[in-house]
Amino acid sequence: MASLVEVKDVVKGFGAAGPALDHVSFEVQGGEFLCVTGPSGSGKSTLLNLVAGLDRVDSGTVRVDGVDVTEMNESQRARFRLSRIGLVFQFFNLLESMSVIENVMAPARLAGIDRRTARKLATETLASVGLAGKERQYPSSLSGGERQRVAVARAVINRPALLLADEPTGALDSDNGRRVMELLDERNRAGQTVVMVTHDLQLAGPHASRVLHLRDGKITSTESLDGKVGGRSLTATGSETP
Amino acid sequence: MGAIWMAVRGELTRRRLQAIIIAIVILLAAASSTLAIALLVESSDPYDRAFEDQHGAHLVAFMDSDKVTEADAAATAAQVGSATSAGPWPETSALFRHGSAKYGLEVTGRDDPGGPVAQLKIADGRWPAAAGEIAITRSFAQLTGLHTGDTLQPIGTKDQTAYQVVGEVVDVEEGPATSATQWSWVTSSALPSLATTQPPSWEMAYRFGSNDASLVRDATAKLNDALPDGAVTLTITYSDVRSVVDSANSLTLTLLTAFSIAAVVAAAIVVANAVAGVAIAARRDIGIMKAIGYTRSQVVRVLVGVVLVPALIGCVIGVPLGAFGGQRLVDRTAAAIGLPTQAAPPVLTEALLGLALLALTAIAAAIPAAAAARPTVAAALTRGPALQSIAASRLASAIARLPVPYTWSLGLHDSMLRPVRSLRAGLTLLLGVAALVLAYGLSGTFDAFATGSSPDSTYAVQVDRLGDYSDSKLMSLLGAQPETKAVVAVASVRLNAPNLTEPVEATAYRGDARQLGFQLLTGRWYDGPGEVVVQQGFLRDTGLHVGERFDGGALGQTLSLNVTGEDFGVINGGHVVRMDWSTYQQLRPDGEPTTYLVKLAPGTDAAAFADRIEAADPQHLGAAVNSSNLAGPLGPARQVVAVLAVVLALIAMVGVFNTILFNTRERSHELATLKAIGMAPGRLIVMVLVSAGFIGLIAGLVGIPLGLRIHYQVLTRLGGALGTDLPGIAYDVFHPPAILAVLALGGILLAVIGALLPARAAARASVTSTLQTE
Repeated sequence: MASLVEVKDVVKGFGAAGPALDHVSFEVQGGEFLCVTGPSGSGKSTLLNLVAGLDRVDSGTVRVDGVDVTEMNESQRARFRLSRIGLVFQFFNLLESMSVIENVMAPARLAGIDRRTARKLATETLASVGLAGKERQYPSSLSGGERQRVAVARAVINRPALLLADEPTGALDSDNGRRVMELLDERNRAGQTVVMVTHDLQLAGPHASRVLHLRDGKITSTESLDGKVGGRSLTATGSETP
Repeated sequence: MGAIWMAVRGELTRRRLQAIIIAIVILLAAASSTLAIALLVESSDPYDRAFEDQHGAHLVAFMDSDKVTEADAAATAAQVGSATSAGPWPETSALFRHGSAKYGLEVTGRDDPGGPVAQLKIADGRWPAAAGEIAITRSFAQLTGLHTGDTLQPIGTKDQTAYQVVGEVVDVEEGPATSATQWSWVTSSALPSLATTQPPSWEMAYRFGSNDASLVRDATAKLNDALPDGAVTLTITYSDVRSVVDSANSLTLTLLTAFSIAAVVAAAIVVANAVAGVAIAARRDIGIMKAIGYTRSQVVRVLVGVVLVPALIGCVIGVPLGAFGGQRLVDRTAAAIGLPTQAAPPVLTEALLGLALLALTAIAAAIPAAAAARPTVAAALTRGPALQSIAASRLASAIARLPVPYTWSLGLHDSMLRPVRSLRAGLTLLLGVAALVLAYGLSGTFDAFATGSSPDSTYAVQVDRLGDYSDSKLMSLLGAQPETKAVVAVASVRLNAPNLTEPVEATAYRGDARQLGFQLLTGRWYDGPGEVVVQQGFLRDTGLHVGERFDGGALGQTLSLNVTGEDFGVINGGHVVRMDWSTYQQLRPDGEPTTYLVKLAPGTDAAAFADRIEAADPQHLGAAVNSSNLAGPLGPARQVVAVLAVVLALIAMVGVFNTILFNTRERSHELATLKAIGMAPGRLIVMVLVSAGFIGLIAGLVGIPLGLRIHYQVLTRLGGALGTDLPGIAYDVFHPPAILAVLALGGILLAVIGALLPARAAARASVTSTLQTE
């Protein structure tokens, strides 16, 4: 099976501090549910941002679905995200000035889908995350769990091949966290590849097919878990810190 | 104070861009209001100031030297009861040539520009000291482009001595060259050689104890009583000149007041938006300051200080800039209305104005600062900027449903998220658009005054017959030219009319005068003997109305004249009567025209035509291209409009810049989110520009009727100042009507230009660093 994500020898630094990512390489197969974990400052979110094309590498390449994201300019990366990548953030990042349905419709409308079709898709997607009837509400009137479910709906409306989630349960209580994990799991079972950054392996672990451990910008280990991708163990190419 | 100043300095360092915006806005406000104050103070009564300064004459009288001796003329000083007097000086009319141009001037023989009355202020050069030297008015020099050192060649005189211009003077006894006959001065011994057709008149200047018009009226009556009938050929009074000067000045003042109020209001709106922006953006810093021990009052002082420091810089630059610009406009206004240049306004006035602006800025800053300093430390630290209301969001969503591309739809949505802020930006744009409409309208009005309804609507060349060149010969000459389309011959006579202390200039036309571009206000054109067309000034001062008859006396005859209509005109206070040639012949059966107004076929080179006619007999024919227009005295007004329209447009742009910068910074998180979910930077720029452009569109749609209304009001005021209604062509200048749509687009253009930099900055901002700032 071809890799959906291929990160090769990526280095990324911020100013005078040491590199946030130091010659990191790994691959993600289509249909995987990969958890990236590690202590604060280990480079997890930076890695996710580079895969999403939200930031630029200093060196190395990032290929998603066979396309080299590092070669694209900002506009091309934006269009690429629109068609292939869905993003879920820790703090939801909903557009507070828009209603729930307008938030979910936004990626579809940006992708050129007409208003009526986008609204229909958004309504269906909201129903699939258990938010039917909340369409006209505004984010400020929703609970944290509901907001994150809106964010998941927004991330999946364009049916992206890759779903990237950065600590999606980090701002939620355990019940809501579990509900969001179930939603991501459903998407994964439906065929979407999920890469999720998390501190909470206890919550995420049962859903993941593999876990990538980062420390000080380097991959220290990979851990293949049963039951997700036919029990195959994928090879981590990052060097392990002693 | 040390802790406050430290915090102010820290905030200023962090909020440099906002500090620059505040400095620019205050600079513009300071410059425009200082300019306005300078002009208002200096232009409030320029004529009376100059009149006192130069010991102006309340009455100047010209006497026929065939009926009055020099001694008789001198004796009138006591007879009219003047406090002081000057003269008699010999005076005549003369025609001069300079290059291909010809000028008719009144010339007085006077050996000294000083004296107790009617002093002349030398603006450039010196007073004539010998034959062949002449002084002209500065107003005339500026109108014609003549300078000290140029030579004027008399036409039609036996003595062909050329006159060199040795000085330019300011004379308060006459109006500006654009709207009044101009005097010039030679030595008294040189004057007789310039008198061609008749001997020189005597000119006397009288000054009374006060400016009371009744004193002048009584004096004029006494003068006429003391001298033989018809001896007094012309009188010029203080009030005549003052009204001519004030009419031009009044328009400038009207425009200035309107524009400066608009500029200050626009600046105040922008300052309010900027200050509110600083207060909201500094919310978190306020929490931190309070947490480490700053009191609420100290926080307010810090925020006010953050605004006052750039405001002070704006004032320090803006006030002198406005004073400089104001002085230049004052000088130009003074020059255009024929008055001396005035001194700069006192520095104290400017300093007080700067302080007043700073005080206003401090008050404007203190109100939002006090509100911003109110929340508890915890609230300030935990809550972000206040979010827009759900109602505003619903309004925004409703507008975003317009059938436009999604990026545009998002822009429309954004424009309505902060209705009050958008309203403030819209108001500055509205003033900018209204200023553009007014500037365009007045430009069209001035052009209409300059050229009539079209350049072809009036005559192209004026030919003057001097001495022995017969009327029939000239008519044959003109008729023989293939380019000649029509010739209207003109003669004038001084006509006595009821309730007027001196005769009016009555002009008789041989030929169809209607084709000369006169603008009829009411009634109809004269249609035969005994009918006249007059102007509003004449009707007002005689108490007559269109349709009434009056007895007009001239050359010992009295005719019953029927006023059939009134046409637009301001020269000589509208004391003008136009009549048919047949009416003139009743007064002077053997009269012949002296001036010929020639209309030419389209495309004719008028200057070449004039040269060719004159070449037929240079000693007895003078021909010149028609250059008479009313636009000259309106020149300063045009400059005021242009300067202040630019200031208003700049303020509007800075206002939009500030609003959009504020919006994009406040919503940086949402904009980063949009980029994260797939909005390309180019689309984000379009979205932000649409949000600004929509405000500009609304401002344009409201600003157009507002501008049209102000244009109408200004013209009505101008008509009031000139003492006459204005013709339709002055109002009807927005052609084609599509120009209004173009001007409305000006609002969008100002908004888009103002929004461009913040939009680009928002598009370039890093998504990750923005989203990580939680």
